[in-house]
Order: sequence, then C-alpha cells, then structure tokens
Amino acid sequence: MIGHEKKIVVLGACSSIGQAIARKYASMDVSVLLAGRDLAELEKICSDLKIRYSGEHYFAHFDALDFASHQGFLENCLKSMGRVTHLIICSGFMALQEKCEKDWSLTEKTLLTNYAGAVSIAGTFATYFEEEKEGTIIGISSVAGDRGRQSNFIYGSAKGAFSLYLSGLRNRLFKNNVHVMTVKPGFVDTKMTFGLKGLFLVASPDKVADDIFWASMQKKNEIYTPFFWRYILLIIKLIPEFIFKRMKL
Amino acid sequence: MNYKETFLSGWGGYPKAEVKLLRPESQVELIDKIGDKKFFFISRGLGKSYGDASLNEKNYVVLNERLNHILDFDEAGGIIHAQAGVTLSEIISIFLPRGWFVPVTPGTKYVTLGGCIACDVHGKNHLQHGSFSKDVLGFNLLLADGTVEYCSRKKNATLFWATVGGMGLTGIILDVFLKLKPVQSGYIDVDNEPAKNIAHFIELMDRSAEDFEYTVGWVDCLATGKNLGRGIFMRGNHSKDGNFRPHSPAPLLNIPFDFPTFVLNKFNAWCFNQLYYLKGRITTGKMHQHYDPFFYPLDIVGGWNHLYGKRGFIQYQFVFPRQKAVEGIEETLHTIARRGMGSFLSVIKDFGSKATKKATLSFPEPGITFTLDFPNYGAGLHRLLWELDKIVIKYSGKTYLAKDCLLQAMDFRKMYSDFGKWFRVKLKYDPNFKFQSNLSRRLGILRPTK
Repeated sequence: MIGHEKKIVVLGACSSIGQAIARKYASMDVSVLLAGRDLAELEKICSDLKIRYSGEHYFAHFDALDFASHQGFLENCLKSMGRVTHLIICSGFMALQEKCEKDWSLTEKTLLTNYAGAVSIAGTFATYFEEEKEGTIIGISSVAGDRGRQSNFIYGSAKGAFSLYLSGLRNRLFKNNVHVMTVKPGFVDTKMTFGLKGLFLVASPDKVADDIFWASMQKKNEIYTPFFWRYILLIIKLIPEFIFKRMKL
Repeated sequence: MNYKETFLSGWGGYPKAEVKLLRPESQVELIDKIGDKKFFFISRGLGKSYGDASLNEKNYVVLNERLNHILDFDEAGGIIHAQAGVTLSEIISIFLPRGWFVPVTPGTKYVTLGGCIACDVHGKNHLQHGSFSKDVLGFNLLLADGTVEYCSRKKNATLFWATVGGMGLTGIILDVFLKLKPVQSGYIDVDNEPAKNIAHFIELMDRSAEDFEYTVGWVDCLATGKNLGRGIFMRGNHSKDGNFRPHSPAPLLNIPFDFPTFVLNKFNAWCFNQLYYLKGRITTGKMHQHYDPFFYPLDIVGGWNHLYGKRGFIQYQFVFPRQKAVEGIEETLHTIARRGMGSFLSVIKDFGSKATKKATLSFPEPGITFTLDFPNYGAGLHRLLWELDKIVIKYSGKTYLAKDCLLQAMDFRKMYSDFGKWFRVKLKYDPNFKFQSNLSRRLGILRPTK
C-alpha cells in the first residue's frame, strides 16, 4: 500500500501514543521497530502488530536516559531492519508540578527524559540520516511547551526546549534532504492524563496518530493535534506577560 | 496508577454508580495494583452487561480496553491467544478474511474475551453447539493474592469452572486461549418464517434443530389475544460461497447522548412491533445475508441504548425447563400485559440440552430462554420484575446475571441452587472478597462474618 519501503523506529513504544503510531504505520504496510524499556510489554505489542497487520516488525531495548547506549541502539536498529527511514520520538515523562517542586529527582527525570534524552537520540539519528541523504525525524513535543504556565512549567519548559531544538535541527538538516517535524498534542487520553481534573477537548491516541501519519506524508514542519490547539495557543501566547503572570492557567 | 472518579452504568443505563476507574496499560501495572487494600476491585470489558455486574460503588472498576493485544495465532488449529480486552469485533475483522469465525457470539460483537467468559455468553447456536466457554481452552487469571494461575479443564479445573459465568468474582482474566471455527464464508444462508404463537415457535425450533446451526425467534409481546406470542422465526447456516468480507469498522450511525424519554414509549413500541412483524412477513423465505446484520442487527446504530433516554431500560432474560416452557412463558406474558408495561423487543431461543453443568453460575440450562426489553418505567416495573422472579422460580427456571439488575438475594439462591459449590471456590481463592461488585453485594455474595 503506502509502504514504499518505509522503516520506522518508534521510541517510547509502550506509551499509548507510541502504540497508536505504531499501529497506524503498520496498518499502512510500514515496517516498525518498537523501542522502550519494558521488553516483555514490547514483545506483546510486537506480536500484536505482526498478527493484525502481517509485515516485518521488531522490538528493542531503548532507555532515553542512558545516553551512552544511543549509538549502540542505532546500530541495533540497522542490524534488524537494514535501514531506517523515520525516527519517531514518543518517549516522555510527566509528573505533577507540585510533586516536582518538592522532589528534585522527579524534576531531573522530567528534564532529562523530555529534553536531554530526546536531544541525544535525535542527534545520533540525524548524523545517520545526513549520511543517507534521506530520513525523517518526528518529535512529539507538547502545547505545554508553547508558554510557561504556573500549573505545568517544569514539563512545559522541557518540551519547549525540545521544540526549539527540533526547529534548529530542521534548519541544519534541510540541505541534506532530511525532514524534521514537530508535533504538539494538546490533552491526549493517556496514562499521563487519566484521572486528572480540568481537562477538556481530550483527543484519543488514535486520532493523534492519524494526524501525525498524514502530516508526515505531507512533510509538514510543525503540527498541533488536534488542529484547534494552534488557535487556542495563539490566543494564550498573545496575552501580555503583565496580565499572564496574574492568571491561574 | 491514577484513578478517575466517575459515574458509570451498564448497557441499560440503570442503575448508575459512582466508581473509581482504573485503566492499566500493561499487565504488569495491573498486577502491581492488585495489592492495593484500600478498595475492592471488579473488572469491566466494554460494559455490555445490562445491569450492575461491572459497577462497584465507591470502589475500583478495572477497564480492560488497553489490555488488548493479540499474542499469538496458531494457523493450523485456529487457536488465538489474546489479552482479555480483545473484542469479538476485532477477532472477526482480522481472522474472517483468513477463514475463521468466532464459534459462539452474543448479540453484539463489541464485547471483550474476558467479558464473554465471565458471563459465559451464548448465541443463536446454543442448541447445536453450547456456550462461549466450550471453545475456551484456558486462560490466565489474576488472583486476589497477586499471583497468576493458568486455568483450564485439566489445570485448576474448579477455578476454571467457577470463573466461567462467574461474573468476574474469582479474579481478573488476563489472557485467553480460544479455538476459532473454520468457515467458508462470511455470509449466512437465512430462512425466515412467521410464527403464530409461543407453541408454534417451539414447534418450529424443534423442526429446525438438526438442519440449522443458528435459530432465534423475535416475539411481539404487545400483541394480545390469539396473537399473543406471535413473531418471526429466523434460522440460518454459514454459507459456502467463499466471500469473507468483514464488517465495516464503525457503526453507520452513532447516538452519543440520551434521547428525551418520550421517544421510546408504549405507543412507539407497539408501532415498532407491528412494523417489524410486517417486515418479517414480507421478507419470509430464504435470504443470503452478511453475518453483520444477521448476528448484530443492533450494532448498526452505535449507542442505541441511548434511545431509551436518561431513565434507561432493563432487560430481563430467563430460561425455563422444556416441559413447562410454553405454560411458563404464557403466564409471564399475561402478567406483563396485566400490568400494562410493554416490552419493546423480545427474543426466544431454544438452549437444547448442551448446557455446561460444571460452571455453576453459568446461565444456560436445558430448556427455552426468553428475553424482554423494558424502558425503565420505574418502581412499577421493578415490582413487576420481582413478581416475574417468583414465576421463574415457580417453573424451576432462572434469570441471566449479565442482564440482571434487580434480583434479590433469596430469589437468587433459589434459582442458582448449586451456588454453595461455587461459593466454596470463591472462599478458597478470594477469602477477603477483594473481587466484588454492586451485583455480588446485591445478590448477597458476602464474606461470612466470623
């Protein structure tokens, strides 16, 4: 079908967004390598893909925080799949803002997973894609990264930094025919948000995966998913700081 | 794992309960959580049981929707190994094109493997085949103490049979081995015939028993006098035409919110029944029908339960032993007619004699089963249904726990006379009653006080 020899690596494949993305691409006859820390769970997800969609699918261990292992991980992917055409970074971590403020280890994990770990793996694959003169890096950031809000700015700042990194990477890699897409989901119905109060317009992981798939086919630079978050954030970003600092968003 | 506090109901919309929803995304997460001693647990699939079987007031309800991976498929034997959250709809979509179908299916495909076992669901082929558990080779069950046991007819057999039809009260089913059925088509060769009354239905069922795998009757309960119990008798067999087209993934129409209550009332119900009977008369005879409208006519409208409005509806299903079935059903219909509460949709099936005696809480018994749908008229209806419970007991029958929302503890014991046997298994594997629900408490399935 739409395969054309695409081979994708999904990081954070145990997460519901990661799984939804893997399913979407697999349903389009694309070969998927699922990566994460829980090998037993990854094996189940992989078997599921193989049975539902046939096709070649793999799984491998990946730890966003083990920076030294990232080069070896790339080599592992190439050994399994021969080549890689897309890297999709879904690995992330979020804890409640109040908890992070009282517990440095949670803050550290948030910053390292969402920013440093993502930068490390993206940089590793960027070099590979540059040599191949072909490839796509899709980074799942967040609308939380568009502006620092008192309710979630530790997670938000890490995602904001990630968005900034991706746009710089997009700039560097363009001349070598490598595409970088930034994805900014709003509220998504995942383990991260289940049970939280004050959510609205919550999207399903399948809807987000669908948006990501079609946007990547169209080589978009930056998408909000669902689309209306672009306009919500536009309004939020336009609020002058002297007013915003008084708000309780 | 976070929980979400919310109101939940079964498919009938009555009753509602305030529960703490858990939604594990991996088996390990669920196994870790089971040690939590703060609240009780009950597992829930897609919530297609009608009453309060998957409700747990102020306690945990475990959603299985994200534990839905297919782990293995043995092409040679047609054996699927899948997590309990996988649905019949998914299984059919994936495996029908490869020549396999589910051997037993209830009236909707939007149910999970776990739910099918917990209710030991039955379909239109119980007479020839038996219930869902017949093709369940085994399953892994998460017990109250956090251990996981494999249960089959050979290993942990008493636990296997207590879990089949056990309404989730022995533990949480994690993954299932199910033997699928090879078919040569996704189409059914159907043959419909009008039936004059209940006795005529039973005569038609007897005549069709050997030659037709699937048989079911739709009964117009609002017809009175000599038309009492008239309807359409439907029977069919899998076709052999090699057409394996699966159903379309989404319902044609979706009703996401409750309709105003006046939409489905007695007059409308009467009109509906007249039209359905007429349609049946016009389309009697032979037809080549896709499995989707044959098995799942109501799935075409997603959320059709919302048509009944906020007050919801109650489905009442019972089984009578063969000898007294006609008398019993007629007395039931007369009682309902006297109270003036119309049943919207009624179904009659012959269970034959293949019921699994070993699964003590499983519903199917040798005899005739009858199902009635009532808009939830309120206290008057509840009194009627308690009256019907007494009639069911009088005829040595029982009601189906997957549909039930009103049965009282003493009547339950009379209907399920082997309950003591099941209860001993419950006490052995869940002595602190970690697994309980609104249904189990209502039926008096309680930890004995010392």
